[in-house]
Amino acid sequence: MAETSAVQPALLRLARLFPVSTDRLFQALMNEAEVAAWLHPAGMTCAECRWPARVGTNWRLVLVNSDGRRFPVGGRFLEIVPSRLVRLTWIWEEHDYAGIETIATLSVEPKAEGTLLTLEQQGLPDEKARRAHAQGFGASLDNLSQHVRSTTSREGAKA
Amino acid sequence: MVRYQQPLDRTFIALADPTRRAILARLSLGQATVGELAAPFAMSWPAVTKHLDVLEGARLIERERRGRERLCRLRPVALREADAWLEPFRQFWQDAFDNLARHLAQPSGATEESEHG
Repeated sequence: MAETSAVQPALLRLARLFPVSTDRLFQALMNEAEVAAWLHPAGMTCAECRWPARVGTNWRLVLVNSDGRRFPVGGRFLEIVPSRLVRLTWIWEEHDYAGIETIATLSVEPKAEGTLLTLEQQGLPDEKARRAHAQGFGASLDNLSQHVRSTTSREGAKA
Repeated sequence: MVRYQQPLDRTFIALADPTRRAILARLSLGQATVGELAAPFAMSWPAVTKHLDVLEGARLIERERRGRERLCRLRPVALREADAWLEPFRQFWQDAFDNLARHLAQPSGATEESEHG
């Protein structure tokens, strides 16, 4: 679909190899109970999970930290290609990133040693979101930012 | 005061271009003249200069005249701001992938893993 090319370059790209079959990994992306078990940051749990995993439906998680603070996040399933990828919109409902809509694409790829899972978080082509949040920088930002961390002190001294 | 785009906006727009990222990657190794930057990218001088204008506007680099050369140098501040904005997302997914690895390693996972294949 043309929609894919309309989205901005990835903001963020992460990949990891899992020693399981592609079908097994994809199942873990589709199954509501499984998603509830893993799709949250460290130190949080998933208190509510609605994950219909059908294109056009909405998903929603309520993540809770150790203080009981709730972080609801949700979005819509945009594209699902079995054992290939799932693409969804991603919007935090509250807190610092509230209302910022991004697109997350999780894709799986068979490898000799298992399955490579790649996450790409992308901006939207929407002008409003673009103005507000300036999407559209590339994956190599990850590499550059490592450099940035190492050169921080030098620049700080200059400024 | 001049009304610019939001600083973060300019940073991300500057970073959206692969050539500009390549220039930044080169500058992350150390300062370089415009000529040195142009050479490996097989680009005309004006083309490089245009990219450098965008990078300078986003405060990602600074240029300094030294004799007849213009020396370019990385300014990591803007990049750090962009990176800080992204950091919670990165952390979220890294944690989630850690969780997923543990989850998939459990023999008694949430669902039975069928083994036909």
